[in-house]
Amino acid sequence: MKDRELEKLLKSFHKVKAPRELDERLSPYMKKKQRWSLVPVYAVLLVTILGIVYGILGKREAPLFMYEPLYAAHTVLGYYEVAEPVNDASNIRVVVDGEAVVDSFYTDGDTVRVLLELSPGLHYVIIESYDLNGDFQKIRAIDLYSL
Amino acid sequence: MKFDKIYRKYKDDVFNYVYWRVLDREDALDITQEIFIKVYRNMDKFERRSSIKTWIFSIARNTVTNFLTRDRKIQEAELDESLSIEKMTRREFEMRKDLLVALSKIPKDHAEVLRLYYFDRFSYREISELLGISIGTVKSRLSRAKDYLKKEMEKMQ
Repeated sequence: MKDRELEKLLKSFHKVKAPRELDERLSPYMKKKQRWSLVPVYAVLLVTILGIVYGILGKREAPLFMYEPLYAAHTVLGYYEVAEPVNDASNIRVVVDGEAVVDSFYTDGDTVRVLLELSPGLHYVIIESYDLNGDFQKIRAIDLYSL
Repeated sequence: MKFDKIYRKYKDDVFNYVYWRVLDREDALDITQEIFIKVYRNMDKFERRSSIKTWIFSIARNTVTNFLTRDRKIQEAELDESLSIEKMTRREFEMRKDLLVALSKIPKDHAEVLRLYYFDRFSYREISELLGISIGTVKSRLSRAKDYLKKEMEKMQ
């Protein structure tokens, strides 16, 4: 027999694959896929959904104007920017759900910012200021900015 | 490395290793199962002094050696059966059968190197690591093994 023939013969032996039966026999030693292994996936999914819901509902807070009921999806700490310049913050009165809120606003001379902390739910926020006759009248708030 | 990964990566190699030494599917299955159970139970003892492959095959080698030393001789029928897993011509069948018989007659340390190189596709370095011999020795044993094999096969013809 020539070297080349022997070499060819030796290389003709193909690798034998393990039968599937082996997988079954060793399955008790394999790590079972735990249900909780998918928890991070669920968590990411939940956060994404909440983010979308939050984004949709959150958007409602920003463009809310005076006289519109304000729905707070979560506790909001924010401020209204009042359209009319008011020199003195003491000229402003804020009424939330029918009750006057005191010491919750300040002014930089041009705008008045009304600091509000609203719990989740529907709220009616009215911002008033003295008019020239010294009476309170409703004034328009531009936006509620979340802090 | 986790057991699942090790098993998936090496199951075919280990089964092939066992198969071409015991030449019986059922025995190969039992032995391969035994090898992987040993791997599973001793994973924490693997010290990374060698590659994981060398470690697994050293377990395989010992397990097969223990099996073969239990006064077991290769039977003619088993040879036929072991080769019947592939389609081949009658002549190819006879040639391979002769080779396996001849292989069982040459010195074991030489036959082992030859099996590792041709049947298990191990590199010189891997054989050297597994058997604890130098690469030079691997090469010389391989060359001698082929000489022995040729002589045995010529005797048979």
